[in-house]
Amino acid sequence: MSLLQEYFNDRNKVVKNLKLIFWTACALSLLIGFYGWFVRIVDGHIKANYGSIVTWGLWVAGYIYFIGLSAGSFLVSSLVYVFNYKKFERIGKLAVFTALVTLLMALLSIWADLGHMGRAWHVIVFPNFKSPMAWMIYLYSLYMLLIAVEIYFLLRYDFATGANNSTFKGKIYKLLSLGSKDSTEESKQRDKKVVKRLATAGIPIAILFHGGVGALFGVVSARPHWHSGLFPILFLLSALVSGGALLTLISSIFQQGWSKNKGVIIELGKMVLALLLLDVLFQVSEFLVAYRGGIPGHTAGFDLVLSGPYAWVFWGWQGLIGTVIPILLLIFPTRKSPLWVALAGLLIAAGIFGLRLNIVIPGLAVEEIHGLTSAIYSHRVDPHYFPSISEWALTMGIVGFGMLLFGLGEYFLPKHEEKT
Amino acid sequence: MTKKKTKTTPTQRDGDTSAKDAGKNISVLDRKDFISKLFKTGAGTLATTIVGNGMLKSVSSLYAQSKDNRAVKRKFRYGMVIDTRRCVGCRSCVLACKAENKTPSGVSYTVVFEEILENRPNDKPVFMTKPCFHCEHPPCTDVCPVSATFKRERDGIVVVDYERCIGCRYCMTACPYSARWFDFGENYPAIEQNTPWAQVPSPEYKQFRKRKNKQSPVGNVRKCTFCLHLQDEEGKYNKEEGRWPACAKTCTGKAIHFGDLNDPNSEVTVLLRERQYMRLKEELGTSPNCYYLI
Amino acid sequence: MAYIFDEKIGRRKFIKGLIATAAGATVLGGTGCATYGSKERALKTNAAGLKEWGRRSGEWIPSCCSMCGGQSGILVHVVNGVVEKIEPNHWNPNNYSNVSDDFFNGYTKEYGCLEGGAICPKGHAGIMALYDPDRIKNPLKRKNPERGLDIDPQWEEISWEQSLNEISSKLKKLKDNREAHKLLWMSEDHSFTHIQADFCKLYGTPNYSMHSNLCDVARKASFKTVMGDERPLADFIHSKYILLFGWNPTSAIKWVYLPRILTRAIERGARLVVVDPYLSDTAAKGHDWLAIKPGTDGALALALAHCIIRDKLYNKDFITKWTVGFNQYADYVKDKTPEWAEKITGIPANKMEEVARDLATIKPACVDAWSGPGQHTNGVQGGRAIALLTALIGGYDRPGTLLIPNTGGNKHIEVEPDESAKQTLKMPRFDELNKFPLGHKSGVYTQIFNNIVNGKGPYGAKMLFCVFQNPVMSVPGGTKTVAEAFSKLEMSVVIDTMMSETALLADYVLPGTVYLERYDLNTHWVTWPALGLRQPVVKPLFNQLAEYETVTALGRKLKLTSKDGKKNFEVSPLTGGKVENLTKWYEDYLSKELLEGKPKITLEQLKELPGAVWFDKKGTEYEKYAKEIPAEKLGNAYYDGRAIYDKPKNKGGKRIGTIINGRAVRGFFTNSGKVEFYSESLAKKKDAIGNSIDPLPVYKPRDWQPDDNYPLYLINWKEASHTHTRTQNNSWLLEIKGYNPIIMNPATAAKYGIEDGDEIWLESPHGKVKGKVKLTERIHPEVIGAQHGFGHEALGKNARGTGTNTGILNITKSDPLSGMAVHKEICVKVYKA
Repeated sequence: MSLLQEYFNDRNKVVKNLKLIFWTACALSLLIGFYGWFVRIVDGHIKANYGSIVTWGLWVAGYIYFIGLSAGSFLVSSLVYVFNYKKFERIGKLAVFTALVTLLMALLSIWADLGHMGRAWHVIVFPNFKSPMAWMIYLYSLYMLLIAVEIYFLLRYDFATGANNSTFKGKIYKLLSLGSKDSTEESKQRDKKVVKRLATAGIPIAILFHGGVGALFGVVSARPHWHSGLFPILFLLSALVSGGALLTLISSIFQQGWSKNKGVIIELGKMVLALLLLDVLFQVSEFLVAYRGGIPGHTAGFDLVLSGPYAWVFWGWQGLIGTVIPILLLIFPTRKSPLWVALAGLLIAAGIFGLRLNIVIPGLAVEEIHGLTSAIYSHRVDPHYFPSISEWALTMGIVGFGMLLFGLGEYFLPKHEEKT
Repeated sequence: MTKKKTKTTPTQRDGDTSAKDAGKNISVLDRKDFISKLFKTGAGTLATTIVGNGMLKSVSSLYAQSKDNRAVKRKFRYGMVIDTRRCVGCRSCVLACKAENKTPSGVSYTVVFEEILENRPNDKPVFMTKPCFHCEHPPCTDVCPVSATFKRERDGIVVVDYERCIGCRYCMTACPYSARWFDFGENYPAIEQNTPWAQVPSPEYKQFRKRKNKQSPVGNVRKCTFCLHLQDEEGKYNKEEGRWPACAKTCTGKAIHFGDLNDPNSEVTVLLRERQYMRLKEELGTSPNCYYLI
Repeated sequence: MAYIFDEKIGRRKFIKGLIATAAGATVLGGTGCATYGSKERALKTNAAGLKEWGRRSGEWIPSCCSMCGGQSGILVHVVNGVVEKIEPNHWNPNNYSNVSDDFFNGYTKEYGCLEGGAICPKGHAGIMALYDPDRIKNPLKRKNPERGLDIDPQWEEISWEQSLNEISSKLKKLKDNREAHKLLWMSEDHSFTHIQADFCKLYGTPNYSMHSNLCDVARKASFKTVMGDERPLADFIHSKYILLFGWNPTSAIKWVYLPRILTRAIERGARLVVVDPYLSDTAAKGHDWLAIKPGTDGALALALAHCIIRDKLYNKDFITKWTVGFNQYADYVKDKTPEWAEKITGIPANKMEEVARDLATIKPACVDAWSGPGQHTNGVQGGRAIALLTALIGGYDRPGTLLIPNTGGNKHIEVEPDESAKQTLKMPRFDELNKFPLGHKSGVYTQIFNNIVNGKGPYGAKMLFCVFQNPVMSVPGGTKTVAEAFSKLEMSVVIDTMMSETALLADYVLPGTVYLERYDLNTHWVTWPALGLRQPVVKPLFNQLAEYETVTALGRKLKLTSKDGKKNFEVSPLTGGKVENLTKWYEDYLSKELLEGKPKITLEQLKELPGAVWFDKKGTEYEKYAKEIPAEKLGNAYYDGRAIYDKPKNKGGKRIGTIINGRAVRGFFTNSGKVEFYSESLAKKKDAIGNSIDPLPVYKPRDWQPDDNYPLYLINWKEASHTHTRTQNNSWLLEIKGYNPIIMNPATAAKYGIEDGDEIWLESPHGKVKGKVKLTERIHPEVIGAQHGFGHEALGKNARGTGTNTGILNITKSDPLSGMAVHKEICVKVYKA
């Protein structure tokens, strides 16, 4: 322990090494991802392991996961810009940026999942407002626009001032400033007001669209595992947990990392712990209600979660790694160390991915009519689903893409300046 | 909309008003006006139900009624009546469908499953062939984000617009009967290796698409169409001419009856009058147009 | 251009604009929704496609299926020379009903039968058989002298000319050496059999065999000895009580009318009771399932007879008038009580009492059996006991019982061999068929291969033709004996569409045709004469010869001549002139058979009939046995004791009746002319092993019984999804049945610690094989079983490695009375793999 502590005390060395690790991981993920995307583009869905029974797989789980991260981080940022919560001020911009990056990741994931990627625009042109999915699409389009604009106003002042520089960075800033040259303090204050309004408008949108994602599942009466009024709330709550958790990790890496963001990370840790406990409560209630009711169709999905072939996702991944260990880390004195909190954040964020998988797949893996999956002999009617290599690879690529954006953001985007 | 137009007589209200129209009326009238109208039209019964039994229930029943009205108005209401006593589980229907629609590997618009009932000894199965039920209230069409799938007014057949479908598969999750299939683009060896069969198109929707790499319907959700490509211009089938759903045509036990449920004299309607039947998952309110005789 | 964020425009405006745009988009979207969204719209159609490929395009050609031996009528839609779809042929009784009143009721020339015919899944999948990319395309010659299922034959593709030259020159050498009898010929028994028989006869080999002895010759033998007919047909649709022993007619569909008439009978109030160790798909439609131990059906039948006779419920009138030996039989079953049978069969005695009472009192009742009881070493006697139940209740040839078929159709015009051929034709058959007292003309495959392997038999066989069959997998224990036998032959030729395990062992493999590429005449197994045409709907895909053309071509190369000196395969059987074209020659051959047979029309006329089906309008006749033979027929008759033949026996005379009480009636075609409870003729004979035969249907346990080491019975069966070992490469059929799970009772599985879906080993003293378990209470706890036909090591890419071949566990053995291969007589132990 002390050795580790010593190691971390030598800040330069750590930062250097961390950077190396970060970029290696990023490059590796992108490389693997390239294979996944190549297969997806060339072979379509043939190499994917989902079928006509488990119709949604890793990519949809990835989508609701990333979009949850986005909504969560956005809502954390709104604490700063709407409620003026000073403790998180340092990472306000980072949170909004995270919201944008994870949203892009989410859209990539769901885009890859479409049978016809080239027809994604249909969702804008031919909407069906009876469909929760159409609503969701409209809401997140609006949300994306809103975050983009908000980021612009958050950083406009910095761009405008930085644009005068003739360096490469300066040129980029000039581009990003969209021509705005106003670098007066007055304009800065005006930006702030705009940001506040946008952030305020963003709260209901974020809640609506992520609740909407929950509703997207919740309204499907054909799937008892999903068909629950709690779903929209549960989605929101998990979004907040995962978004907050991710931010602990991100703020320990970026914006001068854990050394400067120590206070924020520890504060975030507290918030995440509270939300996580609430989230667990909600989840437990889902299980209890289902099992007390005892309707076989309703419990079947939960049976799969608890004792199916992929029960380890629940017990090991989601339960132990994603819930129990981080809760302990956030309760015990480790809660005061930004490193341990960041680690807890990482575990929670990863754990929620297990939760997302456990929402999407068991809901589908239950035969709708007994004997259906043995009625014809095809691997597309198999109720057992495990993502294929190319599916994993594609998702890795999305993660790599997200890391790349974060890395570029860290390099190009202005740092938070301490003001006293 | 003017007030004049919204004036309705009590009889009209009791009879045919759909909830949709009622909704419109309410939205254009201010509240006061609406209440006075309510009293003027003497809809005391409506008021009592609202007070007594809960508004939701009455509204939902009105809504359901309106949907059923629509069903009655439909020119044809095609459906199947499947005799479980006659079905021997041979799966001829499965392959007749495949041969008719040229469905690829892993896509099977109809399947035969073996239901094992608890009160029958020795796991003695009941065979049931299961096409798309073309529900009166299909849960699949409502969830489509791009309205690529819809129920046709003229005959109640639920179709998929291959050109519009983006392949998100939301409809597949919404169908309680697993009647929808995703075309992953897999092919039988005969097609892969370009035997003469490879050039045979699927007649679905009279679109005669040849199977080409990644072109629709690859990447689309596909389903049973009651072989609607065999309808004539007026939407009629003809058994004598062989224009009849492929599964019904080949059934070895003659268990699959097909016809117009709107026609009081059709084979299917007569059977439903005379025999006991059930539908799957009635509790979901989908109201399937396929009945199982028991 | 002014930047939007320049003060001139202002941010506020920008945001307003933004909101306005968003709102606008929403409104537009909303309108779009109203226009395109929930509303129905017409889907685009393709008029050109419809014209080219629609139902009205191309041709609908009537033909007959040959995915199995059932030969149902089909209509084939051919567009641009491609088979687009196959549909049922409504004019063919085989697709609808086996009794004429049912078929004629509502029949029209325009549409055919009232409700429309049917075809089974295999019928539809014929398309995938035709266009299977794994088909053999060119003649192949073996280069590797070593043979084995896992040895690469090192095929060399050769031309048709070369293959026919090489094969015929070897055949010629054999014939010239006066060893023509050393050629063995094995054929499937529904397709182009007549011409193969002709070839063998003119070539001079008595060794023409067909596959029946792998199928149902035990049933044939049982019924033949009891009531004189090889294949009585069950008139389900008129029946009120149906008792089936080991038959699965709704799923093991041979004739596709079976599911319809059986379910229709139940609908009309019939009670169905199925005796089978496995609750088959037919039993699933039944009212009662009697889970019997394999090979004990005879004991059950005897116990039922015991009850019926004890309670005097039998039909006295029929027994007095139309049977012999009832008293001996009644004596024999006196102690065959249900309690006695319970110990043997495992069926509760009171159940038997109930079944016996129903069987004798509910009229009409129909008792039938198929391969279940037959494919055991005691199958024939068991089958006799079952067949006699019908006699007991007086039920032969009456509506709703077992009918004597009248299946006249085309006539095989026998060729007369020349002197040289006659010399070798006189030789005994290599399979020693004469040793089997109830043997069938189809021969004894097990004996053929055992004799080759063991160097036994009347002489050494040298060459073998195997047409459209796969004995490696279809002969019990064939993976060992057949494989070894092939390596002991001088030349072996396999004609098949697929590279079967057997083809893999041959010297020459000639590509065969799928039924959609060739002709045949199909007499149908309905109860009155009916015949359908199979005709080529597409040209052979690889320009290969049809099997009959291959035979004809070989016949021409060998210059085979008939007794009158004419070159049989060159001269048109119809006109007597020389015909060059092989197809044309065969068309004439078929025309001649039609004109000489019942239809009395030419091939061209048959093609013009609705559905290309001919049937006798007289329809089904009942109680034929009591009908007097008209005087004009008696004029030319030939008498052999009390039996009456239409011609002398040596001139191919067919039995037409018997003299009973001084009247010439049809009677039953047994020695006595009556149904025989006691068979005097059998009493005088010995079986293939040399044991004397019981003239009564005495129950004896089958040879191979479970013991402590191998405690489980292993059986196999057929389902609608596949035909024997032939269709396991068919992509469509694999989708409805992809492999054959080992069916096991959960109680049995628990005993061996096996769970659903486990891989297990099945082991007998003769081998072991892996399988995947499916647990269900549908099977007797002492029995496990699987669908037959899977577990290929060849045949095609799809077939290889799917499922389990349980034949490996068996030995190559037949029942000593009929020569029936005993597929179902296996005992095994099981353990987790």
